[in-house]
Amino acid sequence: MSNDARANGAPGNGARGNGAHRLRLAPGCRLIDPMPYLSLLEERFGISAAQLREQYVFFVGGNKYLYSLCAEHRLPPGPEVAFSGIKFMRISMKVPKLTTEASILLGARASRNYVELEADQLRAYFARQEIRLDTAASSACTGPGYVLVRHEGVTLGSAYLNPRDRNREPEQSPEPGAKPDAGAQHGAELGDRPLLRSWFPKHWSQVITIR
Amino acid sequence: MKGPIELPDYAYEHLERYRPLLGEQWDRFLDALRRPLPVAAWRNAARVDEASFENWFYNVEPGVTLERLPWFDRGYRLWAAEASEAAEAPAGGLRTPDPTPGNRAARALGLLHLQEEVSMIPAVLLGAQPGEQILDLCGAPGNKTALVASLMEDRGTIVCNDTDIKRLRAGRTAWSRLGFSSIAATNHDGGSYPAPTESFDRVLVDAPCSGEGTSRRNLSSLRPAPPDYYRMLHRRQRRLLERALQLCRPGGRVVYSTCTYAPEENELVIADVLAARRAGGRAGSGLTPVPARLAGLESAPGITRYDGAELGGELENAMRVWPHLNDSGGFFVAVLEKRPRE
Repeated sequence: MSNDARANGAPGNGARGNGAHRLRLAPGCRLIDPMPYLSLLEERFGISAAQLREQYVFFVGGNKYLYSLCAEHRLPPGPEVAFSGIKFMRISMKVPKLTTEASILLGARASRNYVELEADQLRAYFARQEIRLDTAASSACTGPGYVLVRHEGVTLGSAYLNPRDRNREPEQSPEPGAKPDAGAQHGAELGDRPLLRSWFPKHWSQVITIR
Repeated sequence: MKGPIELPDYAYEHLERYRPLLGEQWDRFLDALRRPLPVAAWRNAARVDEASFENWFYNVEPGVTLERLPWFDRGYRLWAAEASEAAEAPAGGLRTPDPTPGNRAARALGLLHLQEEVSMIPAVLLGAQPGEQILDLCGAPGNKTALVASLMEDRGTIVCNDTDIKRLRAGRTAWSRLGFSSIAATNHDGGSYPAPTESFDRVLVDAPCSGEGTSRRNLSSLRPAPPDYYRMLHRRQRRLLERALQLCRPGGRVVYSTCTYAPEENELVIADVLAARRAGGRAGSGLTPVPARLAGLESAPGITRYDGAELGGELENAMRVWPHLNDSGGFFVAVLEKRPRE
């Protein structure tokens, strides 16, 4: 079912009452065609865009974020929605990026460009430090750039995989959403022991303590 | 190790009104109120399976000992590991709840959600199914809403309503962390919620209350109340429950809960709503108070007599959770089912 059909009140699972249940969004939000963004995810991570469209509808509230909402979501007429769904992707950047929440949500679905950390690397990841990976840890990565980070079946968030300059200072690593430089384009070599820069959220990194 | 809680004189004076309801259990009740409240949480089953969850606390965050709740397979108590080991020895001391549950990576990653054990009860008793349309009428800050979403596998519609938009926004942070996309927030007075009647499959009314059952983390809930306090709360709670019953479809379910011991806010609300519906000519009121019981959770039946008045035998189906029964907070739950339309 298309986003438009849902917005026009096509009956969904469990419609009841006077039958006027339909997808309703907060004022200022509008459904959009998410395919340009979902295609990016499919290309980079192998996450099926078709599956995401089955599971969610996508809308924007302003120009900064794409939001996801359960595709079965239906509301009766009357109550005004204050907000709904979750922030899915930051789309105002040169390179749209999954939010941390969505990265964690989708991490298990990624079939490429994910990194498996060892237990002794978790502290560095949560502290937003750089981690030098061995070849096996980055074996699912097709090239430099944005990757999802996992540990024993649990997705931890995202990071930036930088192959080029082992001596690069941490502050010179790109921030999330920065325009990729030449070395971070698809097809670039990862090389030996690439460098992983954690994008774990700063506010969490300041409070989490693990041994 | 956290020591016992010292109850001030006003707490004893306030609680005295419940001595007749507790009878021989009075001393056990007071003992429980003096102990630190265990930290509890539920596993986000959409994100992590049981084995990976328990493995996480064994390998990654080993400072915590998990104790599974006997009545809810996704629920756990979190104890400080050192203290729980000591408690297994005959030290006779108190077990120490995990002192920093909010700083756990498992929480940040949405593997679990911290919630007091008794607060999980109404969401479980609501029995929501994937794809249904659910209203949490007084839902902020959205913790029970989150558990409902988890039990519905994040499929369908869950509306979290509250008059306090700031507390609703706090819920949004938690729902995002847990990855739930099925929740919408609305900001209306629950007593006059502006939706057509029979709009929802199930409605949860976790009514604003005097909060006496939360004294193990908030002693001020036992401060003396103004004379008209319970009557004022009763009026508000009754209005919320009546609106919830209108909004629930025939064949649907309404769960009414509070975190207080006061019969005025509990059984008397249910009894008055049932009586009013019967007086309104609805045969049998169209409502059935069904047994609110959970295997593995110790509870007492709702009271059927109070202050010289008969409340009706069906009130026995309600659930009272006194703190000493499960080493928890205090809670009240009633489950009402609307008769299907013939």
